[in-house]
Amino acid sequence: MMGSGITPWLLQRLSSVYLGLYGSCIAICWMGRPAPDHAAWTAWVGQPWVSLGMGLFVLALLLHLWVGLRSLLMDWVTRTAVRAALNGLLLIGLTGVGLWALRTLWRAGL
Amino acid sequence: MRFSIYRYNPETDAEPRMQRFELESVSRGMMLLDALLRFKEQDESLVFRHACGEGHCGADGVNVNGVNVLACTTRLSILREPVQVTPLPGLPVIRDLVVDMEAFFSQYRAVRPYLIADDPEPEVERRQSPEQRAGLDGSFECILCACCTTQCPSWQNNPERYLGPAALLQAWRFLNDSRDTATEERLNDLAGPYALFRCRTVMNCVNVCPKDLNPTEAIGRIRRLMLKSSL
Repeated sequence: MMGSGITPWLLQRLSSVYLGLYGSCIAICWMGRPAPDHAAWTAWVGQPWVSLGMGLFVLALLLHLWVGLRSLLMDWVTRTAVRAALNGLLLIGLTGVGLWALRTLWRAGL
Repeated sequence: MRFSIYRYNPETDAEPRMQRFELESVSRGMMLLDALLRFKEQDESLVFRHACGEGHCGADGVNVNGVNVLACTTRLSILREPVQVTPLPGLPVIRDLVVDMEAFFSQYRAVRPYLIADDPEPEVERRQSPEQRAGLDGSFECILCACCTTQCPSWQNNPERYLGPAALLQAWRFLNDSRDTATEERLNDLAGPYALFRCRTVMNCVNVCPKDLNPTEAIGRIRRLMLKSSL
């Protein structure tokens, strides 16, 4: 029954849990510390576990966005061809954002 | 008390219009249905459904000031003036406050709202324990007034593909019945991105249900059952 509508629903929930957990971890890590400069931030993100976590964070965020925006299109765009075109644009846009984030993390030392 | 009531006869009117009515005296405990019956005395052409007058039959669902209610259980004292009374939204108007419920009932029929038991018929009735019976509370009391479904924005966006809260509550009623043996088939019927998964948990259905039922919770339970059966 996977792929019957339950997969995107499950992805949305799992990604939201990860986003909440990782977001909380970052908030706790930086709580009470002064705002980092670029070098300190790059060094922090360059740690393997941080960059891996950040990469997964971006992936979870993009999946969450995809499910949410796909739902909006399903609700509001009734013409199949228009919806398919918009879904294609959405996938291209999200893939672009994902690759850009990956490049940034790679430069920081992923 | 001032009222503005939706009037439309597709056979004679080019467009719907709102007609003003006034109620001279409002007695304590008077319901919206009582007001509509008074207006019917003033203007016999006003058409609306009603039957039991006690909130059991679900015939007199209307939209009042933007919120779906049963006319027979809605006290006039809680309504803001001028009281705007329109038909249930999202369904074709037959005349005035009467809507064509066929789309609603076809979705109800689609979930097969009856017991399916393939196991051999017992000599006595198919029994349930008190706990199994109690598990059905909150799902069988639906009176099919369509207040929830027609107030749901997800259903209004996809009325042909999303089953809506009333039908899904009935789907859960039989999925959760210990005597029913068609769980897998019922879940397959609900598969796909539209039939079940268009619910965005807006919870309008819960807010407007005149029987205080919770279709949103039932939809969540179906999703969890679907997840469990797919793992």
